[in-house]
Amino acid sequence: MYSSSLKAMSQQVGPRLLFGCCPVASFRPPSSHSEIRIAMCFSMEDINMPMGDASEDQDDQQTTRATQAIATTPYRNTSWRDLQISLEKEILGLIALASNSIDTDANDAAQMLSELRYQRNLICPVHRLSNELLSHIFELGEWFLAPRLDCLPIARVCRVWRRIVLGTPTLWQTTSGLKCVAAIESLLACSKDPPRGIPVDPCSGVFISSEYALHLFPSEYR
Amino acid sequence: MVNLVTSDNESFTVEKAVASRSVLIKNMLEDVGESDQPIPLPNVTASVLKKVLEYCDHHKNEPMPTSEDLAAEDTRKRTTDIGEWDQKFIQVDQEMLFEIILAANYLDIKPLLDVGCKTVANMIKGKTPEEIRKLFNIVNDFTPEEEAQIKKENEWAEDR
Repeated sequence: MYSSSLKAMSQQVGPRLLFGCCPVASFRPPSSHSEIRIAMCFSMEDINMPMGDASEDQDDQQTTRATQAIATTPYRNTSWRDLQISLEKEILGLIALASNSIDTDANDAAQMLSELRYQRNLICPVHRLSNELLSHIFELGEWFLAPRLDCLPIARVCRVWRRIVLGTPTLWQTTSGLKCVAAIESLLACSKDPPRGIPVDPCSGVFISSEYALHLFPSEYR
Repeated sequence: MVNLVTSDNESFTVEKAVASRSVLIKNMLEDVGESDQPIPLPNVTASVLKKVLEYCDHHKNEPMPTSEDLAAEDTRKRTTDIGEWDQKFIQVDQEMLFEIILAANYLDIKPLLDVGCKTVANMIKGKTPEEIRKLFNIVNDFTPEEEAQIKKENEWAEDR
């Protein structure tokens, strides 16, 4: 078991990460910036095992070769304790790097999936209607009469509809719909540059951007 | 009589009163004057025009909406009531409904456009986003960031 582990590790991770006799699992994320191979599932107790334990097994040539490889590493003049700490840091660093890389890949995949779904939605029969027509249809609804933020279910259907709702100020331009202002502000919070806030209702602490305050209260803010 | 030719090259001969329900055709007839020349309608297929002409024929004796009517309609545009005949007329599959709306918009037949748009608005009314998606075969295409924002909105609503 000992020699086969070392052999596997020497093939997988190279001599710098080769020590101990723990089982090895290599992980290889799929994208180009994830080119990191890590020997994982690695037991720190095993590090304390003296190097000689492996080299003493004269019958196992593989183990000997692997151990010789270790002897040529930059760690050869370092104490076992320092080596343990150093390698632990290195492993943790690589794990952090791999985690970041996986997070980045997952985020990229999510963005790509979102884009594909967006493209798929564009070919739906309902989207044969122009944005102007959909906006007109939305205006015919009575969502603005609802007193709560979830009065805007149409803004939560898909990206196309959300954009149309944002581009249709008349959907929010009613007294009864004033409570929806926070909803709109919340929708606008997605924008990269947070706009300057204008208090709409100081009591409630609701703020609306100057850009949309122009739509909502043209006489006051123009 | 007026001769209309659809995008799929089918001819329809209809009364002038029927064809004139379309402001587009009415203006064309006024511009051209008395003529036997067919009027091409490149954005409308035969199946859709047939349906549109059915509507125009039924409403041919009604007065054309004036600009005052349209302004008044604007103030009560959020009324989604549809007449009984119009309701039956517009009971078609989604594809045809959207085609009728597009044709009414192109041909400038405001009352028909309203019937179509009100029908879609009524279909949406009272439904959750998920129900609306299912209805129109839309999928949730929000990015994780947008999803987080929507979740935040919902939390805000629950706090109120």
